[in-house]
Amino acid sequence: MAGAAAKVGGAAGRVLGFGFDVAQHVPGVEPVLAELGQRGAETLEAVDDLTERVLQAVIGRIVRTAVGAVDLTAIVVDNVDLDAVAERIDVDKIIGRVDLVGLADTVIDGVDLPRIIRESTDSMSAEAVLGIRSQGMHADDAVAGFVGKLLRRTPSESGAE
Amino acid sequence: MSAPAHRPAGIVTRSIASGVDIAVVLAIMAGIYLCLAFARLLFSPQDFAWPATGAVMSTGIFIVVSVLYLTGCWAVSGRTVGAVMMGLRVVSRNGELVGWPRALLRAVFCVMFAVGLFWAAVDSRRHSLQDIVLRTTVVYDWQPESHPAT
Repeated sequence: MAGAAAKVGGAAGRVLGFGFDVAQHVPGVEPVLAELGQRGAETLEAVDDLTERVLQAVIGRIVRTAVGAVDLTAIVVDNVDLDAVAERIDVDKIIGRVDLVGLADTVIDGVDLPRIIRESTDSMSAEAVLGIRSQGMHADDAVAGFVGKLLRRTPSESGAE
Repeated sequence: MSAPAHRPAGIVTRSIASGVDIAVVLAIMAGIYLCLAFARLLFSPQDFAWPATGAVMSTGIFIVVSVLYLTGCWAVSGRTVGAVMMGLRVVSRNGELVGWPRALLRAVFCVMFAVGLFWAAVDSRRHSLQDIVLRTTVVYDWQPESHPAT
């Protein structure tokens, strides 16, 4: 059956081909056939474009929906041995690509080191001076109190608060 | 820590401030000596020798430098380097800075009769002999600028 159909199809194709060849040699028909062939090709291209665009839109939508519905991180964590992946990573190679000196310079430029040192030393020296002054005041009061006791003065007379 | 009221300072802070001031004067003298030595080296490098230092000369220079240093500091801001460190200020009895003549007299008195400072330990108002004679007082004043007590 299929063989017969193929034979019939082949014969029809040959007949059509013969008819096309004959028609091409008939004056006046050839330009019309060329125009028809070009129009057919344009139509096929337009259909091809449209199909591609539709497919892109549909597939994009499907993928977005699927990705949104699935927790990819959880899937990776559950199914991928991240330790094994990490072991294969050549850290030295990555570090070799990084300009560490440039990076350090950038970080140091961003940090105002002199200001930090200045502020910390300022606060330290200010605290030291305050400590010396208040210790001196207490010593003054202690001496005044001692002398006041020796001379039997009242506290208000000895100048201490 | 809040700054204290302007009350008279006692013997301990004043003695420490005086010790710091003596160190400052000695440093100034050392600077003068080095300048002298460099000047000598500059003008006669062939026969250079360190300048001789006699006891009388050194004492005289010490007295002169001390008087100038104390007078200038007390008249301008009421505080020497030692007083800045200990938070003290020399003022007159009404709380204002002492003038140049009184600062000079006080400086001479303090340098020539430094022992008078120790009367502040005994005096009930913490006045040294110089304070009593020249009607000055030394108060606690931690502020950088002079603000007479009201």
